[in-house]
Amino acid sequence: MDVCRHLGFALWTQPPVHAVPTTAELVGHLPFDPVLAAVYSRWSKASFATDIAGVVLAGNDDSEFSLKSQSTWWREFHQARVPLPLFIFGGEPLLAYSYATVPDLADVQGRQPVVHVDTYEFEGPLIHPVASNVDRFFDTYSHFLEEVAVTPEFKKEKEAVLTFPWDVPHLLARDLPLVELLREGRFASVLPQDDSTQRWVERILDIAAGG
Amino acid sequence: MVVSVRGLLWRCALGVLSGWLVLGAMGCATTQGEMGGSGTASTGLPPGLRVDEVEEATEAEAALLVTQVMAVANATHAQGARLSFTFWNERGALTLISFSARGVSGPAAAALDDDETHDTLATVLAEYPQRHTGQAILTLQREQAKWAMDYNVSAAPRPPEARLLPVPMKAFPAEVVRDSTKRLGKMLEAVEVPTEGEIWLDVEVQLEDGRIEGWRPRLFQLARRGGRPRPVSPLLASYAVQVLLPFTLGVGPRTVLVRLRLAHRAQDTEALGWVEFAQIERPQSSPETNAAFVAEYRAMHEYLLWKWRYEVREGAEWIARRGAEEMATWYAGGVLLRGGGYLARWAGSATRRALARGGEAATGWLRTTLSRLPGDKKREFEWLWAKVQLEGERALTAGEKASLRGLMERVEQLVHTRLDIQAKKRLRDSAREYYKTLHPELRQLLEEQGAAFPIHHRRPLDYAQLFPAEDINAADNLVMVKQAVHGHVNRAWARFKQLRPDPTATEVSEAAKAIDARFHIWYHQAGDPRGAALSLGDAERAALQTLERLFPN
Repeated sequence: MDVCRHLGFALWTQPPVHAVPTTAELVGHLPFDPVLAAVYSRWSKASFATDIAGVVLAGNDDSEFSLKSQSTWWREFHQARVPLPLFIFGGEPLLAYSYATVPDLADVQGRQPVVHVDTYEFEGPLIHPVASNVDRFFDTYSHFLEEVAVTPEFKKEKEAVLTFPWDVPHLLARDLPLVELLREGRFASVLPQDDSTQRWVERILDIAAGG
Repeated sequence: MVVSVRGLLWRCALGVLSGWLVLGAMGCATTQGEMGGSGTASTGLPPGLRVDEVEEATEAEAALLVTQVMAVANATHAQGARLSFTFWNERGALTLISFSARGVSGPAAAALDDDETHDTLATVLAEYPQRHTGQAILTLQREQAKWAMDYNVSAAPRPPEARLLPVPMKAFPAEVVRDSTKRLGKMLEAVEVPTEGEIWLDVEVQLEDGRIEGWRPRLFQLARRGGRPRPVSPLLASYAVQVLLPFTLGVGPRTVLVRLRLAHRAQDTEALGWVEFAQIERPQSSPETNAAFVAEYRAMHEYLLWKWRYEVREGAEWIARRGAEEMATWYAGGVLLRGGGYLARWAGSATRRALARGGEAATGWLRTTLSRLPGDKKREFEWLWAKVQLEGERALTAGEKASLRGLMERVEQLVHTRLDIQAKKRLRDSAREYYKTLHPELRQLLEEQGAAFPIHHRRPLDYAQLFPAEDINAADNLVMVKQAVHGHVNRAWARFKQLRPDPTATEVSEAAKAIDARFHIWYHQAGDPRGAALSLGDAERAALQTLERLFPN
């Protein structure tokens, strides 16, 4: 939020309207991510930098884009093709790209890694790991915004020529717990594998290794 | 309908200025003004220019042409000589189209009063062009002690090189005069005229905007035989250049054919000569090129040249600071009209086909295609094309030419290449930003409902390479749908992919039509459409049935 304010990007929040949900209500008997729980204790919904690309958090409310509606949509159209449950908590405005946590890969503190989910592909969703936890996700995303803000195109026309996460693998490679998860092949065992996922993982590991 | 909205939006971005220029250009191309002579000079001015600076430019141009016509007339002494200058006049912007001289080899007339000729000519050129738009012929007839002048308006189509704006030049650039005289002089040094003989020589002069790009002798013919060969007077080159200079005030690529008549008289040591005629020859435009788009491009190009030459001196840097959308027509038109050489080895180039359509189809295609280049390459592409258009291709270094060739080929290759997920993401980002400009009322929805309403490409990005000359992000290819609708539509496309793993462009178009037919009532709808006879599930089943019928295993 500070980065959005500092760089002058759009920022929008709504106060809570419901109690923080339990994952059990939404995706089965799995714990709710503690960072997301903290976020939803402050706001029912929030969006960041939607003037250039941005992230919109699914609302803990009864709106069209709610945690509940996302859970229903995910189960109806995509979950069957993914080996482990994903918890959709946000997405990109006006695009079929979502952000989800992977409850089964939670660390000892219960914090769940974050993946980028592309539901445009006909064969099924493409899933790319982007952060070791929700905190790191926002941290990485804020650095992405900082990089967008210094491009000549943004300075000249407020045009975002960088895309998340494709143009910033170096930012993801700074997330050492994520790198560790990738190195250990933890995502490989649970996520659908395709060339793009594999190449993405290799790219991050390569950068993390100093490549 | 949507396409026209997009066009309108971009034109808003261009500002009212280009609208003025386009109206000026298009009005002449499509209305009574096309035939000239009957138009009325408008009092409207482009908003980018001040009234006083345009008035000043009009006065300066009239004065410049007076000087030039006087220079040609003063070299003509024969009684009965007749000099004709044919201009296209646009609010005092006088573009010379042709020149002819007759009867210039007759006996000399009496000396005349230069001041009187000058004053008359100044009055004619300063005042008469203000009264009309169209073709005008200024004729000077040498009488015993004066030049009689005539200014006639006649019907003619507007030539493509005609300017819309007057030029605030006080004199032609000295280096242009010097270099031209030198080049022509050198060419004439190789020509000899028989004693008391006569020849004529046609010379082609290639022009691009205000630049002289090349000289070439075209035809040499002996008109009257004679004795031993005589050299040509060096004065002829200076005189011919005076005739040629006003032609450089036009816009765009063109050739001036100059016919020189060279004659030797018994009492002289050198052959003398004159320009019998000079006229513009225009490159043939491709029949599939959109004439309205070319006119729009030319108007914008002229305006940018005007700003660049007469208001700011930072050249390409100034252009580079303009917004990409503001410049879209300029880049697209420039690549279309000047990029042929770079795409020569691409038979049926998609770039050429896309840009030849003109309008939003061309600018949108270029915008979308360039968005697939890395930022630095896109900037380089635009910078190099700005330089080519403002300063000419000759201004490019060998390295810059190689870079531009490489970029042009890369653009051509890109549109034939299957998109990877990163390229798709980039195009979807562009599609979203564009969709937001089409639907500003969605801002609140965007902030509050985010991914609940994804943008969907009716003809999917997976098949963009099958339609290389089409803008995959064109307005009519983009629809916003609810997430659930997108899920059902994607299932239909997934089935098509199973039925036709490697489809043709026609098959993709048929599939898109079939899917649209079932789902179109949900397109651009944030809520549930009224009167939907089928549920989404029913629509999906119906779409699948149609696809299976169209594309049997």
